[in-house]
Amino acid sequence: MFKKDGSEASSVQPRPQQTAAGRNPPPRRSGGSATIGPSITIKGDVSGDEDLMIQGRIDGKVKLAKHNVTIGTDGHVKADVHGRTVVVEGQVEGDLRAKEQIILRHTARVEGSIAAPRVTLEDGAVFRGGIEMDANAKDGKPVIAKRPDSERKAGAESEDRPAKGAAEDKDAGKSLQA
Amino acid sequence: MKLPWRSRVETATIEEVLPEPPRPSFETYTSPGLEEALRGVPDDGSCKVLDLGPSVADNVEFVSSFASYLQIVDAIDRSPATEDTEGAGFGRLSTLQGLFGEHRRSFNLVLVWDVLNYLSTDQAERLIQAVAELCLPNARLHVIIFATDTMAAVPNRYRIVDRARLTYEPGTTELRGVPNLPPAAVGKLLKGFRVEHSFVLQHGVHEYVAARKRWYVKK
Repeated sequence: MFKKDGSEASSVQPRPQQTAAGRNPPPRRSGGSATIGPSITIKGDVSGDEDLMIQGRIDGKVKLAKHNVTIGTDGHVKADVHGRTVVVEGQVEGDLRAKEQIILRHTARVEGSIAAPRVTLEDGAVFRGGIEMDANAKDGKPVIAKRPDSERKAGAESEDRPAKGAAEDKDAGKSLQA
Repeated sequence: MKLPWRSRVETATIEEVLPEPPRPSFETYTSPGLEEALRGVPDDGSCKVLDLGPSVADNVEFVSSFASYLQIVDAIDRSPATEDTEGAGFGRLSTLQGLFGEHRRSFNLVLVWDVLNYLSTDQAERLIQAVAELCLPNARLHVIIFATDTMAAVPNRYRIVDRARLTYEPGTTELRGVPNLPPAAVGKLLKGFRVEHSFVLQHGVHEYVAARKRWYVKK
């Protein structure tokens, strides 16, 4: 889907270096963490088996469903991001999904949709888009008081009648351009 | 022994050295309009909320207590490049194109805040028409209209304290004139909705609660 640009792209994995004995060191174990530095630009998908800190630019997709993804203050991501937890301190244009939690720090600028059982938005964070709220995460939170049934019936009975030239809701404004 | 300069330093306060710049005041007030609007929305966790203001942490937390979905639009585009393209000092209406997706015609509650005060009549009509498209029949609309002579030069940031109280935080101390929006004009502006309640508050604010009509007049 995305092609990596050879001139700009850089792998997240560090290149194995030879030891003094002339043998390659053992491959890095999964479960650590990696950083994409501020000067790095990646065009393409990023996936892996460790936590990721993004301080550079990514144009593509970030899939680390079992790990934590942090978009640092210098990070600029134009991609959908999927992680266990996703923390945003920089800029994101794309959809964020997390299995556990999404945190938008006060420096975050996000345009896209968010889906996670827990969403934390710090004051100062700029967000534009939709937030899906998981019903399972509502335990312990205050619930709006129930509206009495009598009120609901009264509201339903006072519906406006259609005027001449009126259209039923389901057909309304198909050609609308905002 | 007490040194003379020492006593001078101790008594000097920061305010005496550096006059503090004027800060916008944050005021909390009772909002019967918000309470009424919330009374009219589903309480079973299925509620979908459209917020035309900027993202505010407290509002997200409050809405998450009863809603399954929140869409934050920030309808006034504040970016310098697009500012005041329509003249007359009005703000620029943000694009609403992204809203016409899967959540079309599904919202139960729309928090308009004071956005309409910062738009021309044409812009406001376009916005309300778009909002009407996105709402379910009987969805509630909460609107704040200023009845004062002046208002903050940019829209206030409204923070939900609880279901009957709001805090408004002016983004600037600069003031500008208030457009003339008497109740009749507001009712006309809210095409596709019927005004069910209006409240005149002590600090010169009108709150309106409107419900989406089942029957919608095409333009």
